[in-house]
Amino acid sequence: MCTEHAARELRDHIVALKAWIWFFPLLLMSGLPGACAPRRSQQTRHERVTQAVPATHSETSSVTPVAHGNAARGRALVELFECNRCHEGTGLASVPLSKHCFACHEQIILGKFPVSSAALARFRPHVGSAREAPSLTALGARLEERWVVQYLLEPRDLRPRLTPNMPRLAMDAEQAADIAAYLTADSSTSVSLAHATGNATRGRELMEQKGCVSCHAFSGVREFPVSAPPPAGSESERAAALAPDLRFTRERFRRDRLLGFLLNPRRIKPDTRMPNFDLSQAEAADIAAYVCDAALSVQPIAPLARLPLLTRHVSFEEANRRVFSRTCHHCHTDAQASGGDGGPGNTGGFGFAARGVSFSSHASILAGYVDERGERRSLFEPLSDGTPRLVAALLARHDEARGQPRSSVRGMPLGLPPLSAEDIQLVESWVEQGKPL
Amino acid sequence: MIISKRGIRIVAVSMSLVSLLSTASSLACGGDWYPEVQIDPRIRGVAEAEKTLAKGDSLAAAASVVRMIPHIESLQAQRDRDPLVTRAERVLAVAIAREDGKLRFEREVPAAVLGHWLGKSKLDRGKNLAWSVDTLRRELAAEKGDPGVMTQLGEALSKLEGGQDEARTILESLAARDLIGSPQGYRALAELRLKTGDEAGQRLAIERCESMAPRSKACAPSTPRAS
Repeated sequence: MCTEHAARELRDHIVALKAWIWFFPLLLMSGLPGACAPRRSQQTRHERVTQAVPATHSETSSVTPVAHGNAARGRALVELFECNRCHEGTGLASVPLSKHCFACHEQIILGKFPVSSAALARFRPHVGSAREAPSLTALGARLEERWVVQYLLEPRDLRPRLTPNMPRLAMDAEQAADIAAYLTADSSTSVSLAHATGNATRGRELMEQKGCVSCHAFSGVREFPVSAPPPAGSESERAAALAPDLRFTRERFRRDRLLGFLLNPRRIKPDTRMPNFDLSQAEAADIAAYVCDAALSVQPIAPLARLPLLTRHVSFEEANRRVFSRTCHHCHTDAQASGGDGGPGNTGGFGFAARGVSFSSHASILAGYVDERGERRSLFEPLSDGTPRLVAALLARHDEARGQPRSSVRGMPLGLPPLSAEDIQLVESWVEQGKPL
Repeated sequence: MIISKRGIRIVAVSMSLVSLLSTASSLACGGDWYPEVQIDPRIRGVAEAEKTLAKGDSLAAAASVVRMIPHIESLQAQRDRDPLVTRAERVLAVAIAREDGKLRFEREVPAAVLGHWLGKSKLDRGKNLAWSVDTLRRELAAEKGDPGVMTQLGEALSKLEGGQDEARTILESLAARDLIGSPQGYRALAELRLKTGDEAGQRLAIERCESMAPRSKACAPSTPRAS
């Protein structure tokens, strides 16, 4: 036994030594600047970076970094979370029209959805906010895998011209790492231009000349001269809808990949709407330098200023008209009445179990939800601080938008902007008044 | 009798001609064919009846259902295949419970059609309430314990002879989890609590009922139950 034990210990030591030999160079390299991180010693910097500021809303992240994920597991998770219902480029088959987030909405808006005209008129006011989602094609050729992990766990508003529809899904850090590993697995089309260094001041001038900000927002930098917005209905307008706020580019992109993308966007991502500006390598490097290195001002989002309860009577009709039917009904409806599947918040979907929540009537709201043990619980059950669960979920969505998600309560409406303080006040007052009809 | 082949042909050709020429509908006239769409009026009718019930007018809701489907009681075979029948049954079942087993709308529906739904005798009222309870139990099984149906079953049981204990158990369990789905459910609970001398509990249930239906008569004491 002793000999066996000693042999096992020796084997462990050898394994540890081998690991050290392998990882020592990596440890040394980890001290080097990242590709999109400022390389002060190498650059001639005309525009001084005054403050190194992370681009996230919260300026910090609660996400714990995890090891590189398993792409095979990631593919299975992409199926489980049904990423292909909203995104192209997942590597999975297309979903039927009735299951697709946006194709279905487009058909409803165009009046082509196969339901009665009365139903179309009923659906139309509720589908305007969710029109499209970015394609996930060639994600690995552009984006940082660790950023994808963080975004999956804490989605934030990246595209100012698009309603923030990416929901905070019920996934843990390991699952997010697996999905990111799968989505970023193909990095073969990346163009390595890591050694190109640019001039940030020239980069800004070039951005003004090329009109980058007519499509892209760049929050946190000195304001750009006002550019004419893209003409309504044009291809440019469609491109602008998906254009991300460049504030986040320094975290999302690696610089070598950013350069390749700026030089020939469609070579990196064939279905991108970003036009090719025929930039020279030096121009692309200058723009990349400004995008990655320009000083960013901190843009904290103030916490929601809650309004006092209303003293006047709030009826179900009013709460339903202003909030439930306009917002909640979209994912929490009655399958029979809506002609669909009841939505992911009722019959399940996007990785969520069926919770049986329906906002289709007063009685159905009062029927609550099905918890993890399969038992019905009230949507108005007070949490530890006394806040009714429904109201807590509405408030939690504001915390998520500020980059400070609560672990205990998922923010609602999922995949939509937070409700206004007035709407939350209305719902809270309705609940406090005893949920009157 | 022997029929020749020629005879058979003549008969066949004549029958074809007759059937073609005698088509009453001339949908093909005018050059365009269009399908004759039959819209089931019950779809809108049942939805309206549900709304009427939700507004608190149970008698009008029941009248609407009986007018649309007077033979509803005999539609057992269709129940599983036609969700409209199930929805209509639920409206009628709840309305019967809220009206204490008496559907007094002879002016709208002939008494001959209404039959025992009128609940003129104690026996008829009991029969109606028993039908209501059976219907809601079946619905509850199909809806896998939905608190809305459970509340309605509690209401119906509270009116049925011998059903009060079960009604109290159901409604107390829902009230403890804040899952009673209607003001009428709280009113039924209030009455059940009062019967056992729980006056404080009765007041609480009435308060909940009144906060849920502040401008209606839903929380007023009901007429004595059928016994």
